[in-house]
Amino acid sequence: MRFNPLTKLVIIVLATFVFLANVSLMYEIVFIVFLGILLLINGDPYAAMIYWLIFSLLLLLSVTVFKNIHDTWSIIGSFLIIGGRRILPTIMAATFAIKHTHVSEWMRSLQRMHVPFDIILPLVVVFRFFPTLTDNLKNIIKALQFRGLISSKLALIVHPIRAIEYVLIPMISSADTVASELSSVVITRGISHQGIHTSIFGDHLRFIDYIVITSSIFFIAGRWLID
Amino acid sequence: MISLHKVNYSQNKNKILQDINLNIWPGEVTVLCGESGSGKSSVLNIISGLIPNLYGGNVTGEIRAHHEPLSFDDYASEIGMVFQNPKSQFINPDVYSELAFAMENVGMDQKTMIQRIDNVVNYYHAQDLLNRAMFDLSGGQRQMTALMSATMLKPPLYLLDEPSSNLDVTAIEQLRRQILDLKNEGSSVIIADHRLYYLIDLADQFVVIDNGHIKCQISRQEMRENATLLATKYRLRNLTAPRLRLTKTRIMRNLSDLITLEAHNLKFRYHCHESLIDIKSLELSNRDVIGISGENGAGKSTLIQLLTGMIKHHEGTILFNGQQLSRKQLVKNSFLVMQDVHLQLFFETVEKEISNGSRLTEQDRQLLESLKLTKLLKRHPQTLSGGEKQRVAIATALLSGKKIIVMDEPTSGMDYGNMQRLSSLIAHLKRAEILLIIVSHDQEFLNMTCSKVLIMNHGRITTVVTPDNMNGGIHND
Ligand SMILES: Nc1ncnc2c1ncn2[C@@H]1O[C@H](COP(=O)(O)OP(=O)(O)OP(=O)(O)O)[C@@H](O)[C@H]1O
Ligand SMILES: [Mg+2]
Repeated sequence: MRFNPLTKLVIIVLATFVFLANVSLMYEIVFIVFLGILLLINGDPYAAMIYWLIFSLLLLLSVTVFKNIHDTWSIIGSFLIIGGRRILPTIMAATFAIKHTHVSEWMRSLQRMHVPFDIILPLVVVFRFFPTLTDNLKNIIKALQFRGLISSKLALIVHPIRAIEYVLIPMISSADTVASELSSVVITRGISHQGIHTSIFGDHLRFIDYIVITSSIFFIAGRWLID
Repeated sequence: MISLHKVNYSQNKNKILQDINLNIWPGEVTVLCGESGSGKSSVLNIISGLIPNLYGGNVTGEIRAHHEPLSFDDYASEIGMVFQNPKSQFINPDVYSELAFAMENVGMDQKTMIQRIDNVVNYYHAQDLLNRAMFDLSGGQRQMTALMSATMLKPPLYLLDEPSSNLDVTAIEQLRRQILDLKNEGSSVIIADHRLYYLIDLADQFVVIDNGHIKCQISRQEMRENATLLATKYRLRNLTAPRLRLTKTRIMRNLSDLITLEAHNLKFRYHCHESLIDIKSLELSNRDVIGISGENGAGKSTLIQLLTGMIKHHEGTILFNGQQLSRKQLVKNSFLVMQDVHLQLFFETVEKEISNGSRLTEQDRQLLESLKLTKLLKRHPQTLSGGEKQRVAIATALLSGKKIIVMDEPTSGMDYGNMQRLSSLIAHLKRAEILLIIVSHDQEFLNMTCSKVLIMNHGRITTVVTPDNMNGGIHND
C-alpha cells in the first residue's frame, strides 16, 4: 500500500521526538512494533523482520549479559547497546520514508509546504546522485577484480586504506560528469517549471494515512498520559 | 523556425564552434554528421540552451527561435532531448515514473498522464519494460526509455544525440518510425549520429561538421544522387543498411597456442525473473575473433559476465582449455573492457597503469608501440580521449597475461576513423595468444573484425554466422 509523503514526514518527526524524550521500556517496545508494521504495510517485510530481530537481540543482551555494569568492557558494551536501542526507531523511520516514495511525490509535497524551488532542485539531483555512484562503484569493484588489484569484495573491507585509494580516482573522475549529466536531464525534463507539479500516483491522503497520523498524535500524547 | 547566425562558442580560450549558420524549419529533419569531437553535441547543446546556461563558456552570434528565447522553466514542453549516454539519463528508479516525470512537472492531471503513457507504451511495444527498475535495464532498453520520455509532452523541437548508439536493428526501425511520425506532425528534429542509413530517407538536410566548422550542407536530393561519393569525401559511415558479411577468415594456430572456452547447459536468471540465459553448448576458440550480436535485452552483456566469472551461473559448466575453472580463476584469466572505460583506470600515469608498478621489458615496449601508447606514457589516464582509454585498458590486460579479452559495445559512439583503427588494432592483437570476444550491434564493425558471430535471442544462441555461411542457419536447439 502507498503512504502519502506527508504521513512519512509525520513519522520522521515522531521518531525524532521519541529519540529525544525518555520513554519507558513498554513504550519503546510498542513503538518498535508500530514502526515494523508500517514497514510491513509499505512493502518491506524483510526490513521489518531484520529491525525486529535486531531490537530483540539488543533487548535480550541488555537484560542478560550487560545487566550488571562492573568492568570497562561491560561499560562499553552497555553503552553501545543503549545507543543502538536509542537510534533504532530513527533508522526505521528513515527506511520507511525513503522506500517506495517517488521523486515526484516528494516534490509535490515539499511544494505544498512552500519549500522554495532552489532547495528542492538540488535535493532531487543529490538523491539521484547516490544510486548512480553506487552503480559506478559496483563497476569499479568489478574492474579491480579483473585487474587483480583486489581478490574479492572482502578485500575492500580488510584493506580499507588501499581500497579508498583505488576507488577514489575513478570515482572522482566520474562524479563530475554524472553531476552535470543528471542536472541536464532534470532541466530538460522540465523540473523548474514554475506552476504546480502533479504526481501520477495521486497525492490525496487516504484512510491509512489518517490512521497513521492519528496514531502518531496518540503516541505523543501517550508519552505524558501513560508513561 | 530556428536560426543560428554566425554563432561562435569557446570555452577557456578553446574555440569549439566557429561561424555556425543553420536554419531549421518545422517538420524538417536535420542530421548532424562528422567525426567524434567535431562539435555535433555542442551544436545541439547551444540550440537547447544548456550551453552556456549549464555548461558555461562563451557564446556569440545570434540564435533566434520563432518564439521567445528559451526559458528553462518551460523547457520540457518546448524541447524533447535525448542525450548521448543512456546510463545517466534518468531521474526515477523505474520506467513508469520516469515516463510520467516530464508530465508531472508541467502539472498534468493523473488521468491524462496514464492515458499518454498507455499510448506511448503501445506504440513502442514496451509493455514488458513498464514496471522494471531503470538500473536493471540493458543499455538499449535504457536508450529506448529515454526516447519515450522525450516524446511525452509532444514538444515542437527534438534534439537527439546519437540515439541509435546502443540499439539493435528492430529498435532502430522503431526509432525511424518515430522520427517519421514526429516529422509528419510538424515537429523539427535534429539528430547527431554516426549511423546514417536509417536517416537517409527521412532527412531534409545533412550538415557535415568538421573541427567546429560547418564543412558542407547536403540536401536530401544531393545525398540520394551522390551517396557513395559524398560518403567517401566526408568519411560518413553506414549509408546503407548493413548486413552481416564477415570478411575475416579463421586464424591458423598450433595446438600449443590454442585457447578454448566452452560452456555446457549454462543457465542463469536475475533474481525473481524467469530463466534468462539458457545455452546448451557453446564452444569458442582463439582460431576466431568472436562477435556476439542480437536484439536489445537478449542477454549478451549477461553472457559475457558469466563467461568471465563476474557473475555466478546457476547451472552448467564453463571449461577453459578443457578444464573446469572456479569463478575466481575465470576472473583471473579474463578481462572485460567496459563501456565506461574511465571506471577501470586507477593510477596517475599511463605507464603505472599499464605496468602495475613493475618495470616494462623490451617486449612490453614493442607492444605499447604497436598500440600507439608510447607517446602517452606520462599522461594521466583520465585525461585521455575515449579511444585512447580503451587502448590503455587493452594494454593492461595484455601485459598482465590475460587469456580472454572481452569488449562490450566498444564502438558505440565511434566515428568511422576510430572504428577502423580499433578494427586494425584487433587484427594485430589476434596474433597474440588470446581469445577475443566482442559484443556489438555494429554490423559494419563486426564485418571487418570477426570471423564468427553468434546471434543471441532471448538468452539463447540462435544462429552462428561465419564467412562462408552468411545467412547463418545453425540452430543449437
Ligand atoms: N541487474 C539486473 N537485474 C535484473 N534484470 C537485469 C539486470 N541486468 C540485466 N537485466 C535484464 O536481463 C536482460 C538481458 O540484459 P543484458 O544487459 O544482458 O542485455 P543485452 O543483450 O546486453 O542488451 P543490449 O543490447 O541492450 O545491451 C534484459 O531484459 C535486462 O533488462
Ligand atoms: Mg549490453
